[in-house]
Amino acid sequence: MKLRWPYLLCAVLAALGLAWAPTLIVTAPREPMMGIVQKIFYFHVPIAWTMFQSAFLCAGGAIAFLFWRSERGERLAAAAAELTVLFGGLVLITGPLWARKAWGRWWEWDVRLTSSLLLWMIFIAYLFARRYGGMGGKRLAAGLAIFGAADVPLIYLSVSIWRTIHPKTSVVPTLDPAMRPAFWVSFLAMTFCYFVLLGARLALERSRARLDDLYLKAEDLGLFDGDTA
Amino acid sequence: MNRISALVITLCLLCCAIVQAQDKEGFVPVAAGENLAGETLPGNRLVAIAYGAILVALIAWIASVAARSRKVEDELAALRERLEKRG
Repeated sequence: MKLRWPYLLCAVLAALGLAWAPTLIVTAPREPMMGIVQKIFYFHVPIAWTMFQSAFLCAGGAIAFLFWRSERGERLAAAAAELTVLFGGLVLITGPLWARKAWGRWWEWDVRLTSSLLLWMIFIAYLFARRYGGMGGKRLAAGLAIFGAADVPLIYLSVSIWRTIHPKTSVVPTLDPAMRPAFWVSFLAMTFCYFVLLGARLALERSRARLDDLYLKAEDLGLFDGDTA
Repeated sequence: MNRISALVITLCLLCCAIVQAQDKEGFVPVAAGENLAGETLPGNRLVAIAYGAILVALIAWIASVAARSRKVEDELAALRERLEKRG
């Protein structure tokens, strides 16, 4: 697997950030209402943000594939979709851990939580459609990616539009100055980490595309004539 | 076919877990003042579980991508060899 220098730089920055962030999170001041469990915020929000950007990247790739038949776009969409599922899963794990202490229960059918679950399920559907959808599977999956990305603004604005028990988006800009380093280091570390993972996943998709091309070439040359399936 | 069976079984188990959780908790809104008073769950353990889950998931995903890449690269090498032999 060959990674180009921007990916290596991202990997170094992500590793440094992921190593430094826990120290900053531990030393960040405690929130009086929720206590120590509020510290989940320092990685829950960056992961959610990464999930959003991944969903948008996936939709971008899907649009390029649907409208311009871009295979690169399709590969980007596939890589980003898998990462949306990964980071979405982490959002749905870290959120309930915070909620258990803050709200007294693991899950509420709150609009923010429910729409996040929906996003995660849409991208799982993307992966199934792409893999098992047969001839038109990639196009069907691309449509799902666009549909899924449309859920992102709904998730982001849900806490402002509807009455909800989830913290508002205003907590980030109004964050206490003593809490900001932990949040922003964690945020940048997770963003760099995402691009490293995306690079690795894209490399896998490129290898698969090369393999498919080679199989076609081999078939044209009659390499498999006489082979049993 | 095995994958589909595994998926159906997983979905059934998930549905059972959701129904079980609903029986216990229900859709009752959190009452004011219910949250922290009398709460004995240690927050630091939850924070550690959350961070641990992130690291484990990332490492597992990286291992999965590495394994898949290795498999594809091996298949590529084998196919290239067959093509070269063929000329």
